[in-house]
Amino acid sequence: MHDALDVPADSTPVRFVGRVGFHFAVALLVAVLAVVAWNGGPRFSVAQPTVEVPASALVAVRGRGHAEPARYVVDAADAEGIVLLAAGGVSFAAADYPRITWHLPWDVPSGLQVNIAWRRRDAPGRLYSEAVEWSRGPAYIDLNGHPDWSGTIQEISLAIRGRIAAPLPVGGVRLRSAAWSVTLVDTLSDWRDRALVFAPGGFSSLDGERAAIAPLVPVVAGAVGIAIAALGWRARRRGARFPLGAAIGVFIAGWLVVDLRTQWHFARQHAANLAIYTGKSGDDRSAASPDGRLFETARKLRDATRERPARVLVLSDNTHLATRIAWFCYPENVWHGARSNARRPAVAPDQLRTGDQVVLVLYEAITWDPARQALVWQDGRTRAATPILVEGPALAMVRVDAPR
Amino acid sequence: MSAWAGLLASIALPWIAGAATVVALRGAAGRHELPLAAGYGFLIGVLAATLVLRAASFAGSPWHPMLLDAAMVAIATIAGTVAFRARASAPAGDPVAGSLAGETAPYRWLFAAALALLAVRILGLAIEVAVSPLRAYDAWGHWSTKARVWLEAGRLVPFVSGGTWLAQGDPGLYTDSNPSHPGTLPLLQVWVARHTGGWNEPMVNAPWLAMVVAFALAFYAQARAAGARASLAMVATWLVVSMPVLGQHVAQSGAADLFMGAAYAMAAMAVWRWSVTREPGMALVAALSVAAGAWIKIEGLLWMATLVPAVVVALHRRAGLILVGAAVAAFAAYLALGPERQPMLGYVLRNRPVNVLPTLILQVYTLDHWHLAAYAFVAVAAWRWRVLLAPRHAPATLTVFCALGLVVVVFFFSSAAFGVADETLGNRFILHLMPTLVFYTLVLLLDPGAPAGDQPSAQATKAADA
Repeated sequence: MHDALDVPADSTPVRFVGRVGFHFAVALLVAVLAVVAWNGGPRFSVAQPTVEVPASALVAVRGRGHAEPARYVVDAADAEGIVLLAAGGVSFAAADYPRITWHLPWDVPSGLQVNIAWRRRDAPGRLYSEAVEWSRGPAYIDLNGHPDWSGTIQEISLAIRGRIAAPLPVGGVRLRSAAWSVTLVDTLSDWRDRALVFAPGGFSSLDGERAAIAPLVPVVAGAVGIAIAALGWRARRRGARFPLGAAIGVFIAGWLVVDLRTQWHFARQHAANLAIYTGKSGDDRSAASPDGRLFETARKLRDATRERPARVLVLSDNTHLATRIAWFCYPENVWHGARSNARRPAVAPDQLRTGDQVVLVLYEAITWDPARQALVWQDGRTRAATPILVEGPALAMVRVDAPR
Repeated sequence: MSAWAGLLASIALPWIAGAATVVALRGAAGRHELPLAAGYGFLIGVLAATLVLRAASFAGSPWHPMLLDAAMVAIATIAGTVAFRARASAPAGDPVAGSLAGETAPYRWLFAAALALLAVRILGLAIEVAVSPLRAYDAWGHWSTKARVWLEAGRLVPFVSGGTWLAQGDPGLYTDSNPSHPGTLPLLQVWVARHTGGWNEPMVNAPWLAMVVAFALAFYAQARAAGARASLAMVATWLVVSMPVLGQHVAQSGAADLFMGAAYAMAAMAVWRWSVTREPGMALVAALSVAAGAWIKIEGLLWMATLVPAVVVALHRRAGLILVGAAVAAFAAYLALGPERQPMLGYVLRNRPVNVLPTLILQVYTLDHWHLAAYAFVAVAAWRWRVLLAPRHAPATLTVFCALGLVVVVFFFSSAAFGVADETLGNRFILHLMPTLVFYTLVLLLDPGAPAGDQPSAQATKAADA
């Protein structure tokens, strides 16, 4: 084995571990302080670490919505596809509260773009804005150091651009101080809470730290680097060989820190899924999964009274939706309209064969016309069909008939 | 046969047959027979089992579990006989206890701690695999689709593109999101389902758990063979298995990326070891691992191609370096003179890059997807830069260079760039490479400047190179 990796002859294992642990702990402390110094604002502490703007303070300046207890529900965008929710009557120093969280729901339509906007007391006629990187769930933005986030803020707004397919509840906005003491607490909270997005019935997304003040991995990597540099520097001063074994020990300590966090999150996820799925089998398990609602739709299609075997075509404007519904129809002979869109229908009338079964799920390019008993393309082409299962305009399953 | 007994048989029989094959191929060589055979045995057993299914389908024979098991027993018996004749029937192994006996107490504790951490992670993933339905999006889109159809049909039936399916209207043709991927993993699910009495989603996921266990065994064995003491090899094994994305792919079984990453790493480890030891048995193990990897995904061919320079440089150093230089020059020529779009192996090459670097940095270095693995790779490769092209390391270095080149081409110069940018592809592709990078990092770290342990002599390489 390699001497360089071994505990040095002049050290005991306890001293060796102590030396490794001491160097790593000090380096981690230095790294954390550097994070706080880099991300903290001008104050060390503040009396009020959080400013909460409740949903009741929100007003739809553009678009339509209504207030409910503890939330404001957006019903529709304006003619230009924009919603602007404003909370006036606030007053705080921008430099003290740069970390903003808009409480948006997890279950949202795809394709929405979110901006945060604000007005300053020194320029009340001007609306400043900044795009938020967001797809669903709470929308977080850190405006620390933003050139326009200064002075006194007197109005804060949320702008949403896109199609509001279903009512969108907004739960207000939370502003966190950037004081050093608050930054330290928030950084540690991020490391505990943000790493993995807990998903009961699914499995944790690993992307939660995207909105963290400072993700744990680069900080620990920095700490490992500092500790190894310190070990190397000490060895050099003494004229000794680079302590490779200790350096590896420091690296393992860093890995252990990040992995224990992962293991803790995974364990929570395993326990939740064990509780959700134990004792269930087959369809019950799928119904209990995060895609349970989607499965219930697919189950209706799968179990509908219809001819078998048949070719089944699943069409949806949402590729993921088509893929998932199609999956539940296998092992039938399934095709789904992936990589298509409403402007260019995935299938033409003459590509359908008599006896084919067509599923339309939230699909605009082809619709089911019950009056004419036909599938209707946007350009007016039709194909005669017989309904198998129809639930409003969003869902239809029909059997293609011979051309009339 | 109950479903659980069937599940056990469906996993154990290919595993035993594969392990016996590895022992037979390696003969009496090496002291670390047991973890190595067990590790590579599963991958090779999977390949054998799916080949049996293919052969039966081709011959028009039904996929009856008794017939399938008989084939596995036959392979195990033949391999076992060969191994016995080679006086390798009782693998001296790397008896863990024996390896540890020479260690001092702190190293034994370190070994035990790493093993415990590894066991906790795998146990948790086992719970996830045992209870959860199929949740991997790719499995729904184009892996388990084939498995369900083939299981129902009782034979292989053709999958064609959506366009062909629509145009031909033949009820004997099937389709899914990606009909051109190899059928190995869907057939593996068929294999399990045939033993368990039908499609049972937690049970068809069992091979993913078996794969991670097998990979851990193979990694440990190869780390030991590369010169790591037992405790360090176990720590390294815990490190590689604990990478969060790898765990996620076990928990959400059904996609091919875990198998792809494991197969590539196992093939690379075997090729690199052969490049130093020139053991014929290791060459055969490497060849079977390459075959398995190439049949897992379309990208498998590309990954396995990155091992060619390793073999060439091991046989003739100058030729290997020229080969890699020529590949780099060819790509540069394509960028300068080639068509704007060039279809290739399921991708479309582009001669203008898409900047996905911010996403790549986010996924590899910022978010906790790979723990500290990427940092360690960069740091150790930079620190050991003087030995990267030494005869001992040149095969591994060229493999890693080509693999990173493949990542650059796919991520920056292909149609996949958009998948990287919207974060649906990046980690999956990196999973194919990261276990190999971890082993390479370990090998560089172990480089003592002189042989140690049972590290194969570099003289063989030097002699061949001369």
